[in-house]
Amino acid sequence: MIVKNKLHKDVLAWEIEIEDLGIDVENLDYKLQDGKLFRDVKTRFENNDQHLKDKILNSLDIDYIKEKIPNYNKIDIKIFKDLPGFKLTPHEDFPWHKAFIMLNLYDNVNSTTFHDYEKNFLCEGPNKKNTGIFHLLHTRPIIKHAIENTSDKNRYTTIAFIK
Amino acid sequence: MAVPDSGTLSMVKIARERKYNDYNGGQTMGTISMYDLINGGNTNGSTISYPAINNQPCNDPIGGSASLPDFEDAMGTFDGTAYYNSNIGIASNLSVGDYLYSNAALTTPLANIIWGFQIGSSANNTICGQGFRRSAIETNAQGMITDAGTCTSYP
Repeated sequence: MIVKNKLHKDVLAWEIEIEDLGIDVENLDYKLQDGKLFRDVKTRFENNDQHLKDKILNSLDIDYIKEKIPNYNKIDIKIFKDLPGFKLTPHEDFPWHKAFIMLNLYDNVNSTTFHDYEKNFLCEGPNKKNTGIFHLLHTRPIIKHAIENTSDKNRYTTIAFIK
Repeated sequence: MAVPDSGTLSMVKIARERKYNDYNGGQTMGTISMYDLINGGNTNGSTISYPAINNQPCNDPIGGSASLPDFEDAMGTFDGTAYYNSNIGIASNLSVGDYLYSNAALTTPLANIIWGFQIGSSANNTICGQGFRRSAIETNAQGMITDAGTCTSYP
């Protein structure tokens, strides 16, 4: 995992890049997300192949994560397919989430957007395959993030929830 | 008459009450399934089909709804006005057991909120005052508040 530029002066989020993991995301099996994170959202689906999740976890720079979040306890890997229309409004995540890494597993149209306290747009992460962002949560100034799949294509990402 | 508040209850009389609103009537009821009495219909073997029960929560509105503006879910699945039964009064009265809805008609429960919050203001439609937010609000599948959260300093 290569950590690159900070996205915005007020946003503790950095662009990252990983080597291609060779995951054929379009042909994985997906089930509707289980509601533990995203309630009754019907446009986000999840793949639960533990082998793939381990592969993704192994591609992350754990030393870098430890350096930024020395007190983290756990990293949960999720593999998502977001249908057209999928939307999460600007939010801060659960307080027990300390950071997340979002990686594009596909050349997506939309990426994570970042917003200030009043939900004004600040910047957007990269959307190309094997790129993504590392974002520290619950920092000051308050920064929110959001996502909307405005395209007519599925969006494929993996997110490492760092708790 | 309604089912009596005390004394021995009779299943056939409860069935008459369910079907005919006539607890002490003399109608023939045939086979009675407790399942059908509870759930309505006669799929579990009752001779007579029973009407569906109104499953709306007891505090469903008679008078109307009150709004809880700028209610959010921590993961971005809801951001807008939540509503509750106006009989509850001002927002700071909301407590465990009350119901939240996503529409003013109070027909769509604001269900399965894991960590909801509302930024406070000096208005009485916010749970906490200016400079605070009510966080960690939790609802179940019916939109019932199971954790009313706490007011914490914010931002």
